[in-house]
Amino acid sequence: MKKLSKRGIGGLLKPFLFLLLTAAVALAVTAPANAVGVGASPSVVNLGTIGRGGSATQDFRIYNTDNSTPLNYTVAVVGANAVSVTPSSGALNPLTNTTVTVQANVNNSAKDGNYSGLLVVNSTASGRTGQAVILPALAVTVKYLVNGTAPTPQSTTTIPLVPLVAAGVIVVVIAALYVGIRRLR
Amino acid sequence: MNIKRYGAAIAVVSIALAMLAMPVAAAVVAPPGGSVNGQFNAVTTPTITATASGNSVYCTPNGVTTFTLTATVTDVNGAAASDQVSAQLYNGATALGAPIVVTSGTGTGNTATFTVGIPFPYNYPAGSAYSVVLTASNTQKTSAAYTFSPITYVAALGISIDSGSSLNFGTLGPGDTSATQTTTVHNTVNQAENMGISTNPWTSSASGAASVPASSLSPNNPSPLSIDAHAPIGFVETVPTGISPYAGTYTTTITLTASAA
Repeated sequence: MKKLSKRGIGGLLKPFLFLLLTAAVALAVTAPANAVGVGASPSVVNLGTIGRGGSATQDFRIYNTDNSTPLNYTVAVVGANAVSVTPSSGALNPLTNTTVTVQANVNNSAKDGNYSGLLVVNSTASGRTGQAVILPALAVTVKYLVNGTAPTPQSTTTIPLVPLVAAGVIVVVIAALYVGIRRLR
Repeated sequence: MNIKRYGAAIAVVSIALAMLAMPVAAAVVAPPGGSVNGQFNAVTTPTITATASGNSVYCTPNGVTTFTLTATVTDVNGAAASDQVSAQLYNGATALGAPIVVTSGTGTGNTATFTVGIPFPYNYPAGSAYSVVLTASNTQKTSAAYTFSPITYVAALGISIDSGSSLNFGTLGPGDTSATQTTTVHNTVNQAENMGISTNPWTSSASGAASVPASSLSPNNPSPLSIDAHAPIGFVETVPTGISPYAGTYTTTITLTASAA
């Protein structure tokens, strides 16, 4: 009892405070890093065969594979002037994905042959002062074949339905009148 | 008279009842496996076919894609006689994972339909040698099999940073070389990947301070990364001499670009 009273409450708490500080330091050391992950499927976007003056589209998906950190991304087309992507940037919540549409518009002067480029999916993050921030990225291949000229769309003549029906009714009425008159004679 | 009449009527009714009872008695004593009066099912073998919405499976990076097959089982003893369908995934001749067993089907007449989901985890290799063998069995313990093929597991790209998503090289002066700082990356898709590592110049927080060139960072590239590999990438910073003025806290970004190996 005497010993206890000498040490007082503060004396009793000291070992616990030390333990609390130790636990706090341990937590700080083992806190999870800012892990990030990005994915794309498929790894090759094949737009198939496109004629000069024609176009083609194909989708691929971008994934945020991390289970806690949102992902900000951009998609840049490298080495394929005829190719564009929509959308070219966005944000994904953890463990979600989105569809990106790839389109190639082949101009009339393009030569026959195989074309390819890259769709570079970059993740973005704000820099941390005094550190090197690691950013994962992906290089998805895009390719297509130019062969010949795209067929011109067939022009069609549209006949409005209402005038057509009205004309038919008039013809029937005239025919009926003609038959009626002939019978009266 | 009346007694005679009633007696005759009773006799006629008794004979009629006896005649009606005879087929039932015959059915009761019929040997197992027989088909007397439709009271016993014939021992038959079911037939099975399967369809899917396509033959391609797209990899979900760091996840699982479920490939859905619809199995149609026909049994002359009726849809209810179809007990279960089991499905085993193969890559070439190698069985992958445990068979998926589906015991609840729906159906009318002689046809039962079973929906089977085949999981394709990200760490199964991309390729077109996949197939699923579906086996239908009935209440009489006879079975039939059907192979659905080919199935193409389409390649994807993906990496994640396991640890070291930001690196601190401490306090360095011109000519100093840092300790190695390590980032660990994970290949989260169904094909091997190469890693492109691009560094950027370090920029200072102090106004007017010179930047440190990107070439001062030396990474060791672990490419190629096999499927599901967790690979460390070590970075060493060597601050060049002759940079002036140098001051402040320096910051940079390092981009790791995965591509098909």
